[in-house]
Amino acid sequence: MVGPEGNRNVVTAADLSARSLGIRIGMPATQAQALVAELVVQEADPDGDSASLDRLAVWALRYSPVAAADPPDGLVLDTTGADHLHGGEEAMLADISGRLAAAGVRARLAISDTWGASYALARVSADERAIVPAGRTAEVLAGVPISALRLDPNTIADLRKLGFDQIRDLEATSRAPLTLRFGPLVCRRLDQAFGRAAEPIEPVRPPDVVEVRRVFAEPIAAPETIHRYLGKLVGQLCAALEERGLGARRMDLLFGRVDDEVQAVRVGTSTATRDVKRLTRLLGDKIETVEPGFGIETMRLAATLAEPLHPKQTISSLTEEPDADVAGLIDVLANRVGEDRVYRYAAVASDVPERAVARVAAAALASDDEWPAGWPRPARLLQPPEAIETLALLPDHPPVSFTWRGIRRRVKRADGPERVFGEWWKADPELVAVRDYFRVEDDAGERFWIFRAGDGENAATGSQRWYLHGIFA
Amino acid sequence: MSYFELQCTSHFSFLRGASSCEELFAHAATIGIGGLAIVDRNSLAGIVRAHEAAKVTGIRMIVGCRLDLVDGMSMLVYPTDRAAYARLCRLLSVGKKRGGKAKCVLEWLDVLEYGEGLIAVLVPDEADEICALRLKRLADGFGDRAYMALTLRRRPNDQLRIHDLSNMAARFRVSTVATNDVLFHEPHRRILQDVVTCIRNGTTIDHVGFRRERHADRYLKPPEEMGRLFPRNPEAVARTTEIAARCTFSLDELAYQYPEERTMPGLTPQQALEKLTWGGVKDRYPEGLPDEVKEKLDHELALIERLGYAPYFLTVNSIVRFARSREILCQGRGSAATPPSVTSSGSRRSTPSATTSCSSASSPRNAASRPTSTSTSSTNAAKR
Amino acid sequence: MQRSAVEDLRRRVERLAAPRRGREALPFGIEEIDRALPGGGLAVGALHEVAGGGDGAVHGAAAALFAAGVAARTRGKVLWCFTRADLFAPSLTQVGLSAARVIYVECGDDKTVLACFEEGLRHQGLGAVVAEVARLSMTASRRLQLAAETSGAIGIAIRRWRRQTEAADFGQPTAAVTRWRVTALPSAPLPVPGVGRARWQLELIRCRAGESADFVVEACDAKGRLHIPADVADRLLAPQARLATA
Repeated sequence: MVGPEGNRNVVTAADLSARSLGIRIGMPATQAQALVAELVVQEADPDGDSASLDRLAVWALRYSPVAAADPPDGLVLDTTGADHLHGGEEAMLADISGRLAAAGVRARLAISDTWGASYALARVSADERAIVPAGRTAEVLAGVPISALRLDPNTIADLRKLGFDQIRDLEATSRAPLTLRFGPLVCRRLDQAFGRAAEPIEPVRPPDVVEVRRVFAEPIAAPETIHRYLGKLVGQLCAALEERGLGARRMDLLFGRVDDEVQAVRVGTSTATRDVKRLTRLLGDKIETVEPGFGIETMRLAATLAEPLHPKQTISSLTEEPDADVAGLIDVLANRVGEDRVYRYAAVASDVPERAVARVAAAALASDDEWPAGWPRPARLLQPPEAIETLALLPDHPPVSFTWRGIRRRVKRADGPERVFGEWWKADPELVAVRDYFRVEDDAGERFWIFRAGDGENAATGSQRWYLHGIFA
Repeated sequence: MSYFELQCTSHFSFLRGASSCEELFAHAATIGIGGLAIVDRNSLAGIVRAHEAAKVTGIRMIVGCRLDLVDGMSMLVYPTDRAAYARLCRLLSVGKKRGGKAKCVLEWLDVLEYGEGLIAVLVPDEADEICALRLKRLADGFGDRAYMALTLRRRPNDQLRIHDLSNMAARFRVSTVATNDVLFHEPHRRILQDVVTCIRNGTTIDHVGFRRERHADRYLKPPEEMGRLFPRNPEAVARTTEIAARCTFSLDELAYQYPEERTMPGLTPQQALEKLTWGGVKDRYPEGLPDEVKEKLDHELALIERLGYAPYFLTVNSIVRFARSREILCQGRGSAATPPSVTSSGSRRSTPSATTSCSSASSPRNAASRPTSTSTSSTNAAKR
Repeated sequence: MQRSAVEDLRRRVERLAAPRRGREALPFGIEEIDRALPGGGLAVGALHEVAGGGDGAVHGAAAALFAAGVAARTRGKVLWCFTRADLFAPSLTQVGLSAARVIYVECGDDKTVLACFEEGLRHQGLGAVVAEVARLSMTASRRLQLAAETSGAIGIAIRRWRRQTEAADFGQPTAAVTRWRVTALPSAPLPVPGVGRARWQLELIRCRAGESADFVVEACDAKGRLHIPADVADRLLAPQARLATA
C-alpha cells in the first residue's frame, strides 16, 4: 500500500511476500516498484482502515468490556477479571488469534500488566502470543528494544545515536537530561510501560446498545454506595429493556474513576432476563473486584448482549414440578467458573462408553433419551483408559489377574464379555474394532471395568491389549 | 461334536436377515455345522432356496419358521412330517389372511389348533413371570415337542440369565436347546445388518441409535465354539441334534399337485393331453403326419408322462383357448416352452418342425421345480 | 442411645429455631440404620460427610453412589461440584438419580468447589447438593451447615484425596452432622460365573447426638435404596453398635 508522505509516495504497508523481497515501510514507492517487478500497488485508505479498526474493537468487546482501537494497527483490551471466563489467558489468546485468522487477519498478541509493555511485546516478541506472568513485566521489558516504546521514529533514531539500545539502558540513565533533550514524552512512555504512570483506556462504545448512565457530582467510593446506585441503574436498564421487548444476556458495568481509569465488571446469563433482583445480585457479587481509587465519577451500565424477551414465559407441563429458579443459581455459578463449566449430561445412543454421554447446557430442557437400564456401569470412568498388565487365558474368559498402577490384583469374580463393536460409520478402523468388557472383582471386593481391545482371536479387531476403563462402587 | 444351528434368519425375513441362504449354507459347510434350520419370521419364503443350497453343499436343511404372535410371544416351529408341514402352511395362511398385505396376525389358540406334529421352541427374553407363563402354555400344548431356546447375548449378566432360564425350563419340564439366533453368516456382515435396520426404521446410521441389534455375535459359530460357550449346558447343545433327528420332513416329499382337470372326465390328464394332441394333429397335417414329427411327439409325450407335466399343459391349453375365444393375443414365455405337442394341440400357429427339442432342455427333473406359466396377453387386443 | 440433658435441650432449641419443613430426616428404610440416626434418618437441611475406605479414599466410587442414592430420594434438582470430572453419569441413573436432575459444576480448585457448594446450599428449592473436596476445615463446614439450614437441602461432602496417605485427614473434626465411610466388600455369591449385587461396609463414624455404628449393606438399588443382604440379616438380631471413637 502506498500513501503520500510530503510530496512523494511511500510504502505504508507490505505483506509477507513483499517484505521477504526487500520492501520496507517508508521506502519510496518508485524504489519499491523498481525492486519487485510484479508488485501490486494500491492506494492506502487511512480512513477506511481506521473505520475497520474501530469495528474490530467493537468485536473485541466480546472478550472484555474495556476494549479500544490502538491506531494505526492495534487493539488494546483490559482483560482483568475477564480471562477466566474464556478458560484462562492462554485459551483466550488462542481463541482471539483463531477467530481473527478465520477472518483473514494475522495477529500478534501479548498480555502483561501494562498497556505499554503489551504494546511493545506484541510487536517485538518472538512468540506470536506472548504472556508475561503477573509481576514479571519489568524484567521482561528490560530487554525490549527502544523502538517498541511508542515514540516517533526521529526520537528513536536520535536515542540510538546516543547509544541507547534497549529499555534497560534508558531506565538506567538519569531522567533530567532525557527530558531536557527530548521532552517529557520519553520518561512518560517509560513510566507507562512499567506501570508507574496510569494509562486509561477509553472503551469503545458499540452502537445500538441499551445503556444507562449516572454521573456523580461528588465522586463515590464506599461499597454500600456503589451497591445502592447499582440497584438503581439495574432498575432503569431493565425498564429500558422492557420498552424494547428485550432481555439481557450480558451486562457490562463500567466505572469511570477520577483519574480517568476505567474499571469494568461483566456478567452473563443463560437465558435472557429482565429480573432486577437477579441481575443486581450477579453484578453485586463482582463489585468487590472493583478498585474505586480516588473515587468514581461515572457508572455506565450497558446490556451488551440482548435478546427478545416476551412478557410471559411459563412452564407448560403440568406434570413437571415447578422448578425453583435454578436459572438464577446457574448464572451465579457460571459467572464464577465460566459458562462452559456448568452443565448437565444427556444420553447419547452409543455403545462406546466414552461417547455415551454428552454435555448440554445446564438450563436445557430434559430429553427423553435414556441409557439402557440393567447394564451395570461404573461410577468413575477413566479417560483415557489406562493400560494394565494381565494374565489371561481364553478369548471368552476374563484375566486371572491384572496389574494396575503397580498393584497386582487377583480376579476372584467376573462377568462378561460384553462385546462392544466399533461404530463403523465414524472411522474406518472401527469397521472391525471390538472391545470385550469384563466386570471384575478382586479379593477385597473392589470392582473394576476392564476391556480387551480386540476379540482375542482376530488380530484385525484390535491390539489385544487390556485396559482399565472404570471403577464400580 | 455335532451341532445344528436351528435359528437362522435369511434375508427372506425382509430387512432383518442380512445373508442369503446360499451364503449361510456355504459357510455352515466350512465350519462343520451339521445342518441349518431357516426360520424366517412368519414366513416360509426362504425354504426353497435353502433346500437348493442344502443340496449343493451337502448340509442338512430343516424346514422351520419363526412365529411372532400378537401378544409378543415368539417361537420357532419345525414340522416333523409332511402333514405337520401342511398344517404350518395353513396356519400361516390364516394369519396372513387376517393381517392383510405383508402382515401376519396369529394368536396362541391358532398355534394350538394347527400345532400337531410341530416341534415348538420358545424364544425367551428374561427369566420372569411372562416367560414362566409362556413355558407353561407351551408345555401344556406341546408336551414332549416343547423346547426352550438358550441364546447368549454377550451382555452383562449373561451367565446368570442362562442359568435362570435353564432352571425355569426344568421346573416346567421343558427341554432346553442352544441356538445362536443367527442373522448373518459371518462377522463382517454385521455392517449390512445395521444398514437394513436403518432402512427398516426409516432413518440413517447416525440416528438409528439403540434400534440397532443389541445382542452381539449373531453369526454362525462352529460346534466346538458352541460347546465352549455353554459349558454348563452341554445337553442343550446336544439337543440340536435331537431335534434335527426328529424333523424328518424334507421338501423332496412334496410333489406338485395340479388342480384336477375337469374338461374330460374319465380320462387321466395324460390321456386327455394325448387325445388333444392326436386330435390337433389331424387338423394340422391333413395330408398326413410326417415321420419325424410323429417321432418328436411320441418322445415328448413320453417325457411329459414320465415327469408328470400333463396337467400343466392342459392348463396352458385352457388359457390359450380362452384367450383365443376372446381374441386376446397370447404367447407362451420362458419355461412355458412350446414343445411340438403344445403347438399341435392348437396353442401356437408356428410349424412344429421348426422348433427343436427345447422341451427336454427346459425341463429339469427336479420335482421341486415346476414350470411356471407366464403367458402374456396383449391388453390392446383385449380392448379391441 | 445415651443423651445428656444438655444435648436434649440443644436439640429441642435447634428444632424450634429451624424453619418448619415437611420432614426433618430422610430415612434409609433400614431399621438398623435409621435407629442409629437422630430423627430416624439422614437429617435434612444439614451437612453430611462421606469418604471411601481403602482405595475408595482416592477414587471415591462407592462414596459417590452412596451420595447419589441419597440425592435420588430427594425431590428437585441436584447440584454436584467437583474438580476432577470423572463421574460417569449413567451410573447415577442406575441408582435412581436421573440425568435431567443433576447440574454439574466443574471448578478449578477446592476453594471454588466450597464456594459453589455454599452457593447451592443457600439456594431455595434444591433437593441435594453434593461436592467432592479433599480438605474441609471446621470453619468452612460451619458455613456450609448454616447454609444448609437456611434452605433445607441435604448437603453431602464427598471427601476425596489424591493419595491414600492424605486420607488420614478424615480424622479432623468438622461441623457435619454425620460422617460416613463406605468401603467395597465382595459381592453376593452367584451359582454361575458373574458378579452379584455389590456390597459395602457402611460405617457411621461420627453422628451428632448419636453413636457410631457399622453395617454391611447391599449397594443402592435402582431407586437409590440400600438393603441388608439376606444372609447377613439372618445372622443379625441387633445392629453392631460400637462406642463412639472418632
